[in-house]
Amino acid sequence: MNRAIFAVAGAAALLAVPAAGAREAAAPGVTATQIVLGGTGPLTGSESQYEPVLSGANAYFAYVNAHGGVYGRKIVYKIEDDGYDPAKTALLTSKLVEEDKVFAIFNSIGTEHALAVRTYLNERKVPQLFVGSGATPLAREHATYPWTIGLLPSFAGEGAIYGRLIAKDHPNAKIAVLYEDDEYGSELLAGLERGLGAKARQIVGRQSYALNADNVVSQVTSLEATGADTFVIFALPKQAIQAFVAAGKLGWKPAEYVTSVSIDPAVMQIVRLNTGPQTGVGATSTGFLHDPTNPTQKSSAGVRLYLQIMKRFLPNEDSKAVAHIYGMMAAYSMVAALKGAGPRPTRASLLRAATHLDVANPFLLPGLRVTTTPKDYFPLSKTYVVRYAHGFWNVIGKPLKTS
Amino acid sequence: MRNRYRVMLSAAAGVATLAFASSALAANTGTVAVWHTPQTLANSQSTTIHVKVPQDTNPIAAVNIYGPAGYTVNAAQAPGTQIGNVDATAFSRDNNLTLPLSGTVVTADPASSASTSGSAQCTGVPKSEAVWIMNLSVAGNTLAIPVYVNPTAGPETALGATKLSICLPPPDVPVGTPGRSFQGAQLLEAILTVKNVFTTPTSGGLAKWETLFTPYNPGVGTINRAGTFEARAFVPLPIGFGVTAKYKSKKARTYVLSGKINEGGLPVSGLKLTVRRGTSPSKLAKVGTATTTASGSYSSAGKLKVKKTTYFQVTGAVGERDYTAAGCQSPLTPFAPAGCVSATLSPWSGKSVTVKLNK
Repeated sequence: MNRAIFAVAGAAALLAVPAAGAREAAAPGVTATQIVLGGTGPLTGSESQYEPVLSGANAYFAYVNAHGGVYGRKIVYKIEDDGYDPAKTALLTSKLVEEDKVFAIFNSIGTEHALAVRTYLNERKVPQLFVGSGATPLAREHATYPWTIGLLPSFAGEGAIYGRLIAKDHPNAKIAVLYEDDEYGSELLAGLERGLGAKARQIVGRQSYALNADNVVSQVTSLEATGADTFVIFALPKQAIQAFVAAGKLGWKPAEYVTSVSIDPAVMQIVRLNTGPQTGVGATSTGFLHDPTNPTQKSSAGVRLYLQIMKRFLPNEDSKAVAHIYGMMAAYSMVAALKGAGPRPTRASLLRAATHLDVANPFLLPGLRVTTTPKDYFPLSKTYVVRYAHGFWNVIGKPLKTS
Repeated sequence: MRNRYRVMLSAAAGVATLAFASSALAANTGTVAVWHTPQTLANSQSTTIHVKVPQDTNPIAAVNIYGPAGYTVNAAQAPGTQIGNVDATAFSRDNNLTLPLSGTVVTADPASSASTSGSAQCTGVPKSEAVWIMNLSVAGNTLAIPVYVNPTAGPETALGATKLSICLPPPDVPVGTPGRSFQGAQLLEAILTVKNVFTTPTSGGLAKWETLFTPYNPGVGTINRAGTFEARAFVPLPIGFGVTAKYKSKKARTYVLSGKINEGGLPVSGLKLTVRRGTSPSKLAKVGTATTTASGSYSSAGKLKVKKTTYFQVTGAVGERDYTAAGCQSPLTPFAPAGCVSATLSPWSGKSVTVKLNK
């Protein structure tokens, strides 16, 4: 057992000893023996590749529960399938709050989905924690929506990193951008333009696609026709795969940049299987999580803990899916917040703890921490540039600020 | 996410085969190869089954693989035991992409309701002797595909002693059709490796593994029983790596290494061997190659540089080999009306014992 595992197990064991009176019910979803959390995400449908975000988090909670829980309370995580449809997210979130009486909403997936329930949850002062999004409104509008905190690095900040990289590495680039036609894609695009500065004029093509689009081939064909030599892909995994494959089949060989939400190892594996081994080589992205498939990271404490939890609690699931380790990273942050909320947690004490985090997280790459303050609602403010080579996304240089 | 493939076999069971004669005439094909590591007699370490079906073959509804008599099968693992791994590729019609899949093979409780209902649908047997679940994952999505394991009975004993049955849902019916495969996935290839399950026979020869593929009628999700075709895998047992080393002239320190390679008692011709040599049996380096003759014989001559006891070993490997001309004789038409489409001889890799020449 490595040091990080000891640290987690030790902390969990410590917390398993409840303080006097700690077993009194303190808030909705909190009993003497358990804390009930709720979350939504696409368990089915075209974006179901994100399901491991939820099951990974649940596996980490199972691990914590096996070590005594938090202040002796077991974490129960109720997960609802919204099929990546914001309208369903709203209905199911309401169900979790009104019927299941959850203590907090945790780790729900999607920007539009989080925005669809933000007002509702804030009106009821239900913590909406560590949303799977890096959208600016979730972080910057905390004065109006103090109960909502995202988790991903700022999308705009990520886009700006690509802009600065392109301006530096390809100063004469002719840039084509594929982006999702929503808050997520628009923020990445705005960040890219900000990072490019005056070179934003070198964007020769912009093509968007609708959330849940089946196909982006026509958009990629249009972008290739602009004569661009740099292709920026701000798309979810399904559409990112289609974009890489379409470019490959067109014989288009631009410098490629792809958003960090689409760098699961399977993305490039599928791309290469459908086009050839050279497609995607040299592509640039950003990353903040350990990659359990990368041989250079397999001996890290985080990856070893991750694999130990996968083996015990999700033995038949895909341990190569980075979304699992993301879910565990989110759950680790949530456990830190629950611990900070004290032995008699209330929703207010949970929010207070969630806005005063400064914790190392074994599932993050070295040098990254989860930090929040009442005025900083971006828990992850740094990320690394990664480049695809030799079958893996390889970490380049030092972490860069995203917010 | 886990999706258990639901097969619509029962719905299609009564379909008249003649109604689908046109699709029965389609050039459906597939291959199966089986090998063991090591490929020796009375060995249970590892068995690999490689099934491959081209994308333009009609989607497959059922694959029945028959392990030959002479093998023993351990089907008594406790539920939840990981017995192997599987790698596969599937074509997703919904995404127009070929997907790589991989995962574990885990035993399930044959008496569970999921196992019994699946077994009844897929094999007609209410409770299979064993049920293995192939957890095929890509990007966090896991397709759980059961393999039903049963001893054969009646006329099927002519095909083998043990039957592995896999049933797959139709991928090419319209989106939204109940029972359609996840994302319209059509299995193209699967490499299933299980450990300590099959024990190879105690006597040598060519072990024949029969496989029956039953396709769907294209686009409608009904089973084309008349289109059932046969593919055979031949496993030569054991692999023989003969080697002797002799001085040609001890004074000149020249030597000849020779031997014979055979598989299942038959000579292996045209096999390129690697000759390794060294002054320690644990430190052998490649010093040359040799190729077997039609009789499986080889020889390799050389000269030793130093006056020390020298050790030798030969190694060689073959890939999957087309064996259709010889292996598809006497097709089992009553079971496979569309005929025997392929036969494949096992791949293997092997090495000789280490022999030495005293200084």
